[in-house]
Amino acid sequence: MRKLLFLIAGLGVLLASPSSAFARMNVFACSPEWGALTKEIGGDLVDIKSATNAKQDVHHLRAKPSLLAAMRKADLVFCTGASLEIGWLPILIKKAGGPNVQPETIGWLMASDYVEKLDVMTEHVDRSMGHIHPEGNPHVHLDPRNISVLADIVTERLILIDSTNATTYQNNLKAFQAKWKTLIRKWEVNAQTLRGQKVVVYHNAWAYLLKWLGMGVIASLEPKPGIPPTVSHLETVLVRVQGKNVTAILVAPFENEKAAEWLSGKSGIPVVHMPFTVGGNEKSKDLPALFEETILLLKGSS
Amino acid sequence: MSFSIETITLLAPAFVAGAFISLAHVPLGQEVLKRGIIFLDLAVAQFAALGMIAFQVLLNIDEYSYLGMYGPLASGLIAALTCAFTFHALEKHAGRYQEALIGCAFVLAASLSILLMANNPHGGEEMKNILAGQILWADWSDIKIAAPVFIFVFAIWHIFKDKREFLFYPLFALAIPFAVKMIGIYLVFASLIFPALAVVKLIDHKVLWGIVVSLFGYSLGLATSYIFDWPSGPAIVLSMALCSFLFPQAFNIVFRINKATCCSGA
Repeated sequence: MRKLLFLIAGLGVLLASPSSAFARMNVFACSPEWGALTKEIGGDLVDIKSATNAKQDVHHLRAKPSLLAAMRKADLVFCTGASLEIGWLPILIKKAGGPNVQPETIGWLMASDYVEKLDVMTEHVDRSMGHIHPEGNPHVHLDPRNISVLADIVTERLILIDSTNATTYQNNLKAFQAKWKTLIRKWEVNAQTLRGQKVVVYHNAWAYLLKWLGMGVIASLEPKPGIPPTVSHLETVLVRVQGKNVTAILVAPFENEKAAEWLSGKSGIPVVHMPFTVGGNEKSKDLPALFEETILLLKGSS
Repeated sequence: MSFSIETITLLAPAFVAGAFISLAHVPLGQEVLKRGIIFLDLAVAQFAALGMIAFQVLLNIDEYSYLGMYGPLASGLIAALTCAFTFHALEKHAGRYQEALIGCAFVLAASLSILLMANNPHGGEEMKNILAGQILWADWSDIKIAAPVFIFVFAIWHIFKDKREFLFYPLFALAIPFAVKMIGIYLVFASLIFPALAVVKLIDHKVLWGIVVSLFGYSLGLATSYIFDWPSGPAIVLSMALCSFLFPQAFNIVFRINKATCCSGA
């Protein structure tokens, strides 16, 4: 009981201390890539909280106090949208989001609203089809041209929220776009040899990357998006890949690699552990490094 | 992380939800313990969950419509009531096998839930939500719906003391689906059993002290969950266990001191 009393007293002291106040802008990113992009433009003027790290699937999230606290003080919420975070973002916004980050406000930025989406469903969609996003494939960040579009958008938002530092944001954007343009050109040249190659994916999270590089998907390990691989489905995949000259099985850090290894063992196609987003492996420390690594890994397997 | 008024407002709905749940679950938990049917709450809670899942999976209704929001709760309520009445009816016939049957019912309901979820892309996650709960997502609007239910259960239980034999199962089945939806099966079980165990040796004011233990459990659990940024449900279960373990010792010390000072002359 005494210990308890001490703890309560301790909590009281903590309560009395004023919460630290920053003049910096608080950005709530649902996944690391959007945090990294905001950092490129905002630099030291922004404080980034990423709701997930690269090892977590942004589809799912446990309710933790830090998420509520981060959302409470967010000036900008930067997420993917297209229902990717539908399992938790709406409730988090409703519960902890301030008036300036509610949907359709300046502080609400959904990346997928600003780029052309692949796999948009025009016909009837229901749950029996698995984790289908009727708004189209939400995993837009792996096409660097989309990153470029969003760099403009996020700069616009940062300026609208914090106009005093507009020049800094604009200068950072200019520098980033110049660098990014050269990098894209370099990557495209580098990845020439990948054109036309076919891969197996775990989840259809690579559509934008593969389209950019001119590569194709021969099969997904998931029978339906979001449904874990089953034995019978894996067997049909095995039949489908045979004699097709498939170069890799792509797996993201948060995906279960067992199914990929099973297929690899039977077919001889190597499993390639992709970083998927910033922080997905040791070298992918920022956005340029993420794409660098991604292409390097794809080429390494071909 | 430091505490601030913001923190309090973030954690307040979770704590208030816990307080109302304690109100209904502490007396019910003591009755569960008295009757020796510990697994009944797991079974009823799992049936409530099964009812909710079945509604969502089989009927496939838009989550954000009225029917989509309240339908699962109604379906969970029906399933929980069915489970409770069945075991009420069985109590006289099953005798010492009652607990075994309850255990089997729990396993069956849990397995059925998993099968129903097998084709759901969020299946694994939703299963985890039902077990470990998402008490932090509890909202004032959820509490507004559930609080009257818990107050009703508490009131009826204390007003009709002589009808408890009959009232126990229906009240139990009424309280649990609302609690499961908000805080998950593990925490419902913890709120029932830990405080009941903590005060088992007391003679007077068992319900009152049970609620005190439960409130300590919720406060400490939420505080640690905040400090270490842990998921709140499991953190509260652990702190509930700690508080229930410490309570009898603390109570003993206080009780002995009182005895020494107040009654030494007698």
